[in-house]
Parts: sequence; structure tokens; C-alpha cells
Amino acid sequence: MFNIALLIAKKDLTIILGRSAGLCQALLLGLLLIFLFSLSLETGQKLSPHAAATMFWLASVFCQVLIFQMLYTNEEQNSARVGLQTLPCQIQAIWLGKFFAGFVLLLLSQLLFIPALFIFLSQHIGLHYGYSLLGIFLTDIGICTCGSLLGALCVGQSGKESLLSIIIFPLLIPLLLSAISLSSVGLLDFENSFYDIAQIQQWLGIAFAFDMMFCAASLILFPFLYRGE
Amino acid sequence: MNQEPVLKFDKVTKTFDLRLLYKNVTFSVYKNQTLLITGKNGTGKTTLLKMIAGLMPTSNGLIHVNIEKNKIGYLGHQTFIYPHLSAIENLRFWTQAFRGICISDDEILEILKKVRLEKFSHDHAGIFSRGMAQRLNIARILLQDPQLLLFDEPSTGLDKESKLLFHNVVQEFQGKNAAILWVSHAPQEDSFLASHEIHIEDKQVTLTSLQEKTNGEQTHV
Repeated sequence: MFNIALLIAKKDLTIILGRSAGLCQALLLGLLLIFLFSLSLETGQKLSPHAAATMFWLASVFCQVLIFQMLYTNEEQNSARVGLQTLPCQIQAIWLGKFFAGFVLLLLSQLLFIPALFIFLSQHIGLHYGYSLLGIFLTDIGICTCGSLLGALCVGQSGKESLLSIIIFPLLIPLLLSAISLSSVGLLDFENSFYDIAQIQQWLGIAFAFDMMFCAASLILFPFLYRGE
Repeated sequence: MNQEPVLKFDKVTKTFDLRLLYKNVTFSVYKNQTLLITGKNGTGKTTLLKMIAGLMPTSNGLIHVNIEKNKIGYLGHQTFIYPHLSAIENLRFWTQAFRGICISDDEILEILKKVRLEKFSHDHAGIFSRGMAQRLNIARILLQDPQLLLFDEPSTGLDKESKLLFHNVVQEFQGKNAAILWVSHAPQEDSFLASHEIHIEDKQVTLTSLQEKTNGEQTHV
């Protein structure tokens, strides 16, 4: 199952990074969002770390919705979805493969969004950036787990594509709350960098708990969603 | 037959959107048999194949498949081809997924030669015509090397030359003792390759040996 998941991820990354302009659109959308928001600031005005972290996650989640639509659309043109279902493995391997590919693509996108926060929103790295990176990692796992599950529901059935963004945002709210708090910790100024470590650990715990919950739900629900039962 | 069947339908009933397709169907398929599945549109021919491939559940009854899942090959009129990947990349992906091994470019090129696509090996499959895409699909099945083949109107849209190529591929699998279940859109053209016929009509499934058919013998299953 793990080998086939990696094979599916490799194939998807080859298609999206090498042959498709889709990722550029997702990146541009995220960067545009951060840039346009920067226009609302007065000259010399600095955005609070919380607001900057919110912009970062808004860009990331929009990007993630487009990434998972792209990943599942790969299979729709010649019914490769049926082909994947005949593979000699559990059907969850498809979910896992899409998760791996989506996770890599989202991390690559965020590698562009983070410098954009420093450039356009005048942010600085805080003392606790290690917690922020851990928070980004855990949140990415959660939103990719959820995205890989709901992507299966929403592609291939015309008119249902928009469902992905409608369903995904309410589900991700608790995870995004912890993500914003954790990310803002890494953006605090040096002079204001005091932060309650116990509170940070609580947010990390929440992110981890949601990752586990989304993971369990995905493993159970994915076969029903992908087969369209 | 003393040998173990490759596939056994055990009182299989299938309803589709509350419509009964067939009830209590029981039959066995053995190695080296080629069964042509015939019947009017909507009688459940494709559904029969999808149930065997595990793409659709039965409503009642059991289907016993006595070979490993990676030895079941499904060839439909839909090609499973990724248009953004080259012919070689498509074949490498599907072969690795089914057989769990990474095959060499030489091996892939040899198969592409067989389906007369060697000149297009590095071209994106998205530019392929319907016939070329289906020949690439046939190459996929050849590399998978299955023991039970499920054909769902694979020669739809193929020209005469490609149909001949497909018939050669069927004979190659017959030479390897594979069992074949074949839904054909032109049974009169394909029946010479079949050993048996499964006919679906009025919710009844009839299995006939094509040698016996000439003597007028039929078995209702």
C-alpha cells in the first residue's frame, strides 16, 4: 500500500510540477492575496503578527483547495480513476498518494508565501520560530489529510467542484485557529517575543489531535467517497 | 472439469437502481476459456465485469476469484491514460503499480513496438488519437501479464488494422492459458476467438459452449 501510494504521489508530482500550469495559478493566487492586503497598510504601518499569520494561512488554504482539485482531476480525463481502483492494494493507498503529493506541493507553495510575509507585510522572525515551523508542519498534515479526502468527493462530478471549498473551511477552523496562533509566535518582534510556552504546547496538542481525527475519518470514509457509493 | 475454476459466480443477483438485472447466476470460468458476453444494451454486461474487477458490489451472492488481484487485467474502451505523461511514463506507472517492479525502457519499447507505437514512445499521450490511445492501453495489459482478462468493448473505435492487432493479442493471452471474459460490440467479428458465450436476456444468463452451440445445446445458469 505504501509503495503504491508513493508511486501515485511521484506520478502526480511529475504531472503537476513538470507539465501543468495549475500550480503557478495556485501560487499566484496566494501571493496576490498577500500583496493586495499589503496595499491596505499605510506607509510605515506594520501589521500585527496575528493578522500576518492569518493572511499566510488564508493564502495556504486557497492554494490547498486548488492543489487537491488538480490532483484528483488528473484521473478524470480517461477514467484512470477506475484503473486506480483495480490496483492490487487497499483503496486508501490512493488517498495516501494524493496526500503525499499535496503535502509536498503545499510546502513548496509556503516556501514562497513565507518570504512574501516579510517583504509585503513587514514581518520579522521571532524567537520561537521553531514552534511556528512545527505548527506549519502539523497544520499542513491536517489540511492535506482533509483535502485529500474531500478532493475525492468533489471532482469528476460537474458542479460539485465548488463543494470542496464550501465543506473544507468549516472543518478546518479549529486547526486554523491553532495554526494562526502558532505561526504568529514565530513572527513576533524580538522585544515583544515573550510568549507562554505552555499555551504554545496546548496549540500544538490541538493541531496534533485534529491531524489524528482527520486521518482516522479519512481512512474510514475514503473508499465510500472515491467509489461514489 | 477437474481443475479449479479461476472465477466462480455463486448465486449472484444484481439490482441496479431497484431494477433487477439478473438473479441467482451461477457459473464457473476455467483457464484457457474465452467467454464472449452478449446481450442488448442495458442488460448488465459491463456490470458483470465490474463486479468481477471489484469495482461494484453484488446485490446478493458471491463471486470467488481464485487468483491474485494483480493478475486481473481490465481493458475497457476507456483507456486509463494520463494525457500529460509520455507513452513510456504511462506504461511504467501502470506496470510498476500492478507488478511492483520497475521495468526497463527496453522492455517497454519492445511492447510499444508490438502495438506499433515505438515512434511515439516519448510523446505525450494527450496528442494520441483514439486508436493510438487504445493501442497504448493494450500495451499496458500486455505488460501487466494477467491471468484473468476482462474486456469491455475494447475494440470500439479501432480501425481494421488495430482490430487485427487486438485479435493477435487475444490469441497471445490464449496461448498463455489465460481466462478471458469479453464484452464485444461486434460479436460476429470476435466470436471465432471465443470458446463460450454468455448471453444475457430477460434477466436470464445463458452459458453456451460455442462448440456445442452448433448442436443446439444451451445451459441456463
